[in-house]
Amino acid sequence: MTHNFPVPDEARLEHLINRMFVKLPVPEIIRLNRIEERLSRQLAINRPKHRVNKIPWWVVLLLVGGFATAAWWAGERFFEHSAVEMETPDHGEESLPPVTPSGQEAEEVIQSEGSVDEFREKDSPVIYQREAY
Amino acid sequence: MQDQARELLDRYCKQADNAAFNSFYRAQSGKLWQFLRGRGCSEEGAYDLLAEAFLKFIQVVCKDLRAPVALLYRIAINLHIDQYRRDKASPVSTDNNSVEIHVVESSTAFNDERDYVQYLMKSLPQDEQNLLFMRYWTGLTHKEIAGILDMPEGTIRRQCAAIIKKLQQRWQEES
Repeated sequence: MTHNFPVPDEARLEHLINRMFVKLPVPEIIRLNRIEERLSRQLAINRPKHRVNKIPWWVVLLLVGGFATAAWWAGERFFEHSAVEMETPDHGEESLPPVTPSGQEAEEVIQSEGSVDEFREKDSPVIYQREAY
Repeated sequence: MQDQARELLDRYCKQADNAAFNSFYRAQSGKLWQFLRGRGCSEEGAYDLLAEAFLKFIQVVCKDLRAPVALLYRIAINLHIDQYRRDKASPVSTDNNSVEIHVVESSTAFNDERDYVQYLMKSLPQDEQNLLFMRYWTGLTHKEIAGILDMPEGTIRRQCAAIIKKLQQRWQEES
């Protein structure tokens, strides 16, 4: 099929394509209005929720998880610390390494001081005790 | 045009302004119906798909307002594909109504350039016709069409340029 129309440039052809679509069949307005009414009813039901403070669920989950871990860790630390305190009461003195006599020295001390019980008495933390008469 | 659509839907989503949504519907429904007809839907089928597409669109549009028109067309295309598959699985009736784009016969004398362009468009495959429709009639950008068709933007740009080139070549050959 031949024609006499000059070859259009790109812009002109795009314009012609656009004009051609104007010729497409158009829908019936009544039908479109009917669909619009149906949609309006649906819009009334399906009203969009306007949330101002919209925080993603995963952020909330992350925060809750973080707080729970922190609380657990802090609790564990607290109980551990109080248990150590109960085991070693603080007398307000510098703790010195315990002086324990070697085996031979101990033997000598026992022999010179008397019985084993007496040695134990000397080693006792009780430094003064009122004698009961 | 896309900005205007976005603005209307923004009002609908943030202020629950149904009138804004109705304006959007009136601006888009006619073209979407034509698009569906162009894809081979029957007249009745195009109305049904149009209604269904808008109903689905209402449910999802407020989640992402970046490209609402592209979203609407994507929904419509997906629904049409689903319908096509259903019909193929259980064919009930055949509809041979074709869109006016196919009406012009090659033997007809061309009154003006528009008639000739219509004749040229007839020779294009359906995909290419749809692409030109979305680009030059609906006014979607290459990026938006790429979003609808799940293709890279560069591919759409190249395809559009190739179709225009092809039409120009045919024009040249037949003159």
